[in-house]
Amino acid sequence: MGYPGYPEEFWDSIEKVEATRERRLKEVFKRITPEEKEKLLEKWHPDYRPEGKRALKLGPNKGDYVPNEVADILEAYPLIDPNDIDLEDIDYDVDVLIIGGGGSGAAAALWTNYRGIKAENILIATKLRFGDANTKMAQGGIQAADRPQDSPPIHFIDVIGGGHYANKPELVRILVKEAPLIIKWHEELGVMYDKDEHGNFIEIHGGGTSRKRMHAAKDYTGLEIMRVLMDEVLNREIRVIEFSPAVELIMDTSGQVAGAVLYNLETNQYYVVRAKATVLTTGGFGRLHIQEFPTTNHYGATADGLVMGYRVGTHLRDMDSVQYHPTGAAFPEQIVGQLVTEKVRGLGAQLVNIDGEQFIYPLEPRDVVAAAIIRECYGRNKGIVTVTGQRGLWLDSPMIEIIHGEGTIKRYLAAMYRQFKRFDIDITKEPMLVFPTLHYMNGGIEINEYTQALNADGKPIPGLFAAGEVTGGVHGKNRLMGNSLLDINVFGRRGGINAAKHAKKAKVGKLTLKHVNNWVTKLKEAGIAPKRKAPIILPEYRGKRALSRSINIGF
Amino acid sequence: MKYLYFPGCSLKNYAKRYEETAVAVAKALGIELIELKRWNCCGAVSGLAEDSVFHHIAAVRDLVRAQEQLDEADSNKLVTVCSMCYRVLASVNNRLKHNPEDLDTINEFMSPEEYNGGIEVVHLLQIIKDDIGFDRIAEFTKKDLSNIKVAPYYGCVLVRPKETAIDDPNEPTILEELIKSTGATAVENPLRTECCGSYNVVTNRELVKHRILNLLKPIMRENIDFLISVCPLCTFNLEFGIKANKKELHGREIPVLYFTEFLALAFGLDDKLEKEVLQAVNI
Amino acid sequence: MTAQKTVKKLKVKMVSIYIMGKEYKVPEGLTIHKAMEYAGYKLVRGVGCRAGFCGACATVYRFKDDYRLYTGLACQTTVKDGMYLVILPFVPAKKPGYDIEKLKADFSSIVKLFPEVTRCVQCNTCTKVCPQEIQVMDAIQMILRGDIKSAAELSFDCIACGICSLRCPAEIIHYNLFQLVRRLNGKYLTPKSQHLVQRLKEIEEGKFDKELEKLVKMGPEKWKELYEQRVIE
Ligand SMILES: Cc1cc2nc3c(=O)[nH]c(=O)nc-3n(C[C@H](O)[C@H](O)[C@H](O)COP(=O)(O)OP(=O)(O)OC[C@H]3O[C@@H](n4cnc5c(N)ncnc54)[C@H](O)[C@@H]3O)c2cc1C
Ligand code: FES
Repeated sequence: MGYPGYPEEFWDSIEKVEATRERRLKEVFKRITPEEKEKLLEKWHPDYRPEGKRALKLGPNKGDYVPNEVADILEAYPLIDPNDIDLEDIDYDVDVLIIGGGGSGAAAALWTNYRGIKAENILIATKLRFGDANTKMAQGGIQAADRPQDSPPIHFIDVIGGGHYANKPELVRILVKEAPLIIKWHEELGVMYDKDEHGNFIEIHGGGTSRKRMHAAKDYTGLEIMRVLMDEVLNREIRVIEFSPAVELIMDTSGQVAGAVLYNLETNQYYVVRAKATVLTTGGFGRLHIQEFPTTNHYGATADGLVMGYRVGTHLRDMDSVQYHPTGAAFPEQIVGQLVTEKVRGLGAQLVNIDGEQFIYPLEPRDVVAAAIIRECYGRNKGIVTVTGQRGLWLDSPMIEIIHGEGTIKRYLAAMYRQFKRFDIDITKEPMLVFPTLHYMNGGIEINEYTQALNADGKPIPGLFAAGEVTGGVHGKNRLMGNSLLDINVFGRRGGINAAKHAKKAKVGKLTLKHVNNWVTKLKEAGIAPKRKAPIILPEYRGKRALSRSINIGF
Repeated sequence: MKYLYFPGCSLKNYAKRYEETAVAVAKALGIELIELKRWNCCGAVSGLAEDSVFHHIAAVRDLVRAQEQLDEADSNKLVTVCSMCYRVLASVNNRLKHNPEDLDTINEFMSPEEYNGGIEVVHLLQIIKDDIGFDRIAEFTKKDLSNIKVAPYYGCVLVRPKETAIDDPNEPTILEELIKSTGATAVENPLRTECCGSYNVVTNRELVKHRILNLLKPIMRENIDFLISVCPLCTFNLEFGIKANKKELHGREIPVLYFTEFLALAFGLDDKLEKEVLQAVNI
Repeated sequence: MTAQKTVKKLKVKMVSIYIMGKEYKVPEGLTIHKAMEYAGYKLVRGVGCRAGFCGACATVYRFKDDYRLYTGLACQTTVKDGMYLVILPFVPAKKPGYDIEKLKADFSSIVKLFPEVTRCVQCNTCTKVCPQEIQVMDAIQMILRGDIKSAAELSFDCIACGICSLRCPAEIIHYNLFQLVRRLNGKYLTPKSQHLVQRLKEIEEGKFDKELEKLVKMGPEKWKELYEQRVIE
């Protein structure tokens, strides 16, 4: 007996969780006051650790504080030497180039095509396989105010409060107002959202929502959206090249962005893409492992878009704040950092400490819950410590089966159930051990309502559009669950529409990579040694010994 | 009584009326048919190939599914309604029961799933005859069918080969007995176990048209009210043949009923059918 | 930190694995991905989400004296001693194009695009190899009997790793077929949301425009006030 998936030293604590469960079912932990919240964040949220950040030495955001890991890639030398690239020999000549094959990229491609740009004049370039990105990993859901008791203005307040009032309000207005349109689009495409027998969506709360507006497709929401969008891109025969990341944007002599240099990861050759409009949809930065946190993000989340954009002058915003998801798996070791969706809390599971007691209302905004868990583990020493030194607290998933009936977990949290079952942990009966994990890039490239990338003066950089996680402003300093899947569709769509509009009248001049040379000059002027190169494309996880013996004999 | 029940693909598609009436009639007779939670196509003709046990895999898997659900039923009988499904499942079951090596081979392949040989495959007609009794059919019959003349049609697979036949292969009587027990008249049908033309209907319609005409000729003089069939494919071919031979049959469009539809009529279970069929024959 | 000390005390057991036939010694308990990285591989193909959601990392493996061919996801499967493994870099598959608006949710539209579905011999190999534990063959059978809704639901957790399609003797491309089936179900066999229609009408009529305009102009002080007064449903 006991709990075969957990080491024996956890068993005592699990029994305590079980013992308090019945009482806790009736217990509602009081919500945090604004004053308490401020104190909690200041003391325990990783964003507030001054040693985690530094001021940028150059570029459009010179002087702004960003996480060290972000500064490292922004203040880095290019991967290519512009002199090696023959810009006269063009491999792909298109109207619209979309860099990134996640949800925002797919949405942009479709809407570009809907707006009259022919499939053969659109190119999606992606680093990994088409669709293998953060979008597919989103489990919990997508927000949209479509129930009678809800409205776009109510949604607006939730978004902007969650974002600590730092959001760009024009962008928030678009997000909430166009949300129902997106859900309708998905419905027409055949996305299988969870519905009741009348066809209305089954909607629940997410962290920080004041109305139930989380639409889900089991706990595979992102996967379901992504694969339908992909299917449609393929049906329309829009061109996609995989394993060919962009490594640098190309400009023309008139100062507009006019394509990109791609790098074939298999043959090591470069391709030149000339495009009348370029849309950056390269997603976030989880794989930078800010402050050494594990991450929920996919393997290619290395913020390449920020690096390439910064070199052509895009302004970044809200880069000082990082989203740590409060509940990443903390055990078993094989899945540490992987997401335990907020929906688990949405469905009623509480967070409890080693003694089986609650310490925070489970659906406070993410930064608050994350800080509270860190405080409980490190400040109050009420966490579990695993053999590897990883700390964690219990997320009491069996409560869900008690509240909503047996079978709920397998039906609505199939992915979660499977994830843990692989390691002998049955989350319908046993709680799961969790700790915050690096989850989302709150900030990013600043855009306007037309998804045009802006420079430091707030002026659009001609020819360059950006959408999705790579951008900043929509979510301010903290994104709420369900608003990112929404963001990538709303602004991916706008990106597509505006890129199409632009491409129809744009004229591209002579291509150049002069901005890259200029960047190298500026780096040298700022006294930065040519040690680091970026974009980093893929993170480095090779074993130390293997790396230390790696040689390049160039055969 | 609760029995496990295997519907098969046809009953979920073009023979929906067969399934609906089968379930309704069974219910009226106090039989609950529990559809297998998981089932696949019985394998149809490919399941009948005897050169390799591998052809039986589909059928065996259905038997395994029945085995998994056995605790929900009162008996080890798996009830089939489509005669082709019956034939395939029953013959595969027989072969495995009598040839333990074959059973081992198949189990080895299916591992970790395993069939233990404990299922008995039956046709709904057998349940009605053996477990309910034809004598009791009269009790449930609400309609006066004494003026009705019905011709039974068995087709091949329910009564051939003899290993799986549910009745005497040459002189079956089970349908006749059933018809009589409702008070209707069972017309003698000498060609009742001849083949209907089977899958040829897909590729050679002319052949099937002629075949059906030949089958019907001997009973045309009898002025029958309808034909009774036990098989979705036979019914399909009969209905096709009757339409196609309209001229030859002097415009007579004899309705073809599944035996379960006939019982549903007799029991007064199906208003819609009653309107369509019984009024046409003036009951 | 005490945590660091605990780690040091741990003695990690090493196991032998054979990546594409070459032996490497790696710590026990690593996932196949992490073990390959430990051994010195920089992963490019056969990796994506690293969390069991994208299907990029279909892996086949065997053990020395075991005839069975095992399958799994490299990001979710832990290495075992004596494992001979390869991550599949790519799964070729046909993907017929279609206009979903012009299809009907019935068997005949499906079989026109994927005629091979009728070749299913019900060997059940697809179900046996599915790392998501989907009853793949049952879903194919449901399609064959025209039960699109059940097939869509049963195949819902498919992450398109492609293993079933590589093992299928009938050469069915299950995951592309299921994608069509799910879209047909979502689009045609599920009732449409009426709330949504109503809300879209209100938005079109400009019902929320004034209020949103006010909100946009308000600024942090006012937003804060409103946020703190929220009534939670
Ligand atoms: C585990 C997890 C769970 C989540 N759950 C939710 C949720 O429930 N609700 C919600 O709203 N949000 C959720 N999110 C957030 C949301 O999924 C993402 O923010 C969003 O999908 C990002 O979409 P995107 O298209 O901008 O980026 P991605 O989907 O990450 O796509 C980025 C694409 O760019 C490509 N790329 C990167 N660099 C380059 C390059 N140099 N050249 C070419 N291509 C490149 C990548 O290969 C990839 O194809 C979750 C995120 C994660 C990781
Ligand atoms: S890497 Fe995505 S499923 Fe394994």
